[in-house]
Amino acid sequence: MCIGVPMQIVEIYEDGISGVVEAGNTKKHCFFMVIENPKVGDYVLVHAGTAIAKIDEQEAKENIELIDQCLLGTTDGSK
Amino acid sequence: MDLNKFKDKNLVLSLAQAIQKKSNSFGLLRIMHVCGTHENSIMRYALRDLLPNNIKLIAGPGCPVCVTSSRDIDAIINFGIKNKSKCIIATFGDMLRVKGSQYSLFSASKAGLLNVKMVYGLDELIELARNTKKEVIFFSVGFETTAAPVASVIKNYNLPENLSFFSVHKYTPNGVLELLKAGKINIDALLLPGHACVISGVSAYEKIADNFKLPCVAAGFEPADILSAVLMIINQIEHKTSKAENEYKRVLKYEGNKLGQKTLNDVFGLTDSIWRGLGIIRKSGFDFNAKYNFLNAKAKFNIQFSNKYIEEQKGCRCAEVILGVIEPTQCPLYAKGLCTPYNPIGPCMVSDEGTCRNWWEVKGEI
Ligand code: SF4
Repeated sequence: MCIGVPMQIVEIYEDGISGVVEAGNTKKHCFFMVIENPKVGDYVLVHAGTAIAKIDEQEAKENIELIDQCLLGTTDGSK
Repeated sequence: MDLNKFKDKNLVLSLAQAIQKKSNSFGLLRIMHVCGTHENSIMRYALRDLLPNNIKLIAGPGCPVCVTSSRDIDAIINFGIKNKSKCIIATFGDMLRVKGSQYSLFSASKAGLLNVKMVYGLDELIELARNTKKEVIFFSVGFETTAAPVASVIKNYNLPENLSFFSVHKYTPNGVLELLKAGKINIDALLLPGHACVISGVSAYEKIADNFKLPCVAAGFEPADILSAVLMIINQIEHKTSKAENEYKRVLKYEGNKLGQKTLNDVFGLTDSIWRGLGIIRKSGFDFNAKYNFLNAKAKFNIQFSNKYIEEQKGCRCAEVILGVIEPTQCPLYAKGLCTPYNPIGPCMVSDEGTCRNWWEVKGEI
């Protein structure tokens, strides 16, 4: 139920609130009403046919850095 | 975008080693997660086997269909039966086979008693309503992750007049908070649900971290995500802190999805809600605000509820599984041809997010 799938926006319809997302060879209708400024090419997390978050390439890198910090034991509960 | 590094074998093994190394510095560490998708990853990647014996990953109330009360299931089924010629009940696939007191939507539909349609997404739901003259009632289940998309469609979309919603949505942070207050769960730390937090924010758990001195870390769903979150919890314990932290930075903002939260609050308000097997939990469910009540199926059709309902079929121990008191294999009905995904007795064996189902998928008949 809460399974979110990372997909890429390939088309935004004229209404600006819906369009098409793609992952692998699968294309799906998607609503964009709970993310700001959806753009073709953005990666989004799709849940129940709705994009609920953008996935950021830069933040994916930072996420790996965070994991490295965990390994070094330098996270201490800061945001 | 390459997300494979989050399941990289070497990274996963170094995380497991780091956890192992630190594990002598504390006694038993009970970490509860409240997300069926976490249980799915934990089982699939055998993460419990990578952890030392004193760290227990406990599955908590993380499956929205598992905590949907029979009272609600009975009400929608009875309404559907009485109004068979006039209405279609639509819902997500996981909900279909969850039994109420007597029937599941699937078994009642198979017996020809009512019309049921499964939808994968909200676009399909709207399409379904557009293509029929019957009333379509969406049995709208899910945590905030699903409630926000439903609210966004309600708020922004021109919906067909014959479509309405029976909300059984639940709000995870308040569910967990009240269970902790009532002393129903006994844990040392919380692994927060990555996708539900996308909407609520990690910040929604600050109160829990502060009041109960529980380290809380929101995690993604790859093996490296879950193990780093465990390590972050251990690091908090070492530093004697208890904060709400975010491991899942590539997707999740600490404050959550503000637009999603606003949309959710515009359409729904928090209300007391029955969680199956756990009783009424304060302010843990979403119901319609006055402005959108015309889309509320319960009000539109004056749907009747009975207080005579059966939450647990005879012998089923789902309530204890949901609270992490027992593991699925401790239920005498688990597998052995008694309770399986083909013939589920309790809700935990139905959905991909149910704990018993996740165990069965990996362990099968034990
Ligand atoms: S194995 Fe089946 S009967 Fe037992 S707790 Fe799980 S769902 Fe309920």
